[in-house]
Amino acid sequence: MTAAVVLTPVSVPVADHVLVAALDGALDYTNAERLRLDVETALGEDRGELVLDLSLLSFCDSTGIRVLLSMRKLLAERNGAVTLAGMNPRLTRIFRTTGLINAFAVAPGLPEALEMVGARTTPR
Amino acid sequence: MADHRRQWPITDDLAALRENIQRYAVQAGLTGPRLDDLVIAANEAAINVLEHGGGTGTLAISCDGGVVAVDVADRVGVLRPGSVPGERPGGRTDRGFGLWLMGELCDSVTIDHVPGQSTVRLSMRVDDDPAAGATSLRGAHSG
Repeated sequence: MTAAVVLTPVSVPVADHVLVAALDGALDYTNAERLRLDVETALGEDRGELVLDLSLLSFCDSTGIRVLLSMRKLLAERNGAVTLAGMNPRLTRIFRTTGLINAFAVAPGLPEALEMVGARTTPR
Repeated sequence: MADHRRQWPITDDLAALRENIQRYAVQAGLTGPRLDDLVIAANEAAINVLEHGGGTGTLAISCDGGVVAVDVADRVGVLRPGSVPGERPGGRTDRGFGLWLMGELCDSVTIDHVPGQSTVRLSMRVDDDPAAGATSLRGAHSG
């Protein structure tokens, strides 16, 4: 069996332009490209903020990080960002070692991530 | 004891490969972040074989003298000793990026080259982690 990663929308009350979703499984070379398409489809044309709950993601390799970086680029064009929540120590380790943790907004859990996005995007 | 050599083909079932590496390394006494580092690095080496190294190869793991070694061999032989970048490569040199990452994660990364085959060796000392304590395989090279 190859690694599987599943993207599931999380229904929480957020603004229309925010996509909140959870990743479950292992994100690696064998499924990263498919996940990229899944996220792009879920974002659609209009959503500019992505919050990913990674608390059920057991593993992510450099190919997975590349996919998240491509999401970051896409959302930057829409003046938005990628916020990652609930990374386990192994995920944190690869993000830190690569230095790419600084490319993302990182929150300990989903509630904190939603607060961060809310604070960033609340119209003034 | 875990110091006999195990070997698996590299296929697109990376999840099973990571499981096998993790099981062996735990038995050899690696724990915590250093265990994670070896699994991440070995996974990167396997990706390189799938992506740039002709798509087939083998991964072998052994433990000798308190050092866990992962040997990842391709059937192309492009990598040479000295191919491991000392600094993080920019741009799209993905294979270089993976090799750089392995160097950051492991105690040592060496490359052995013969015509038609390059072997990346990732080494991790078991007794480096005080938390490993009683389960450490110090001096387990007798077997």
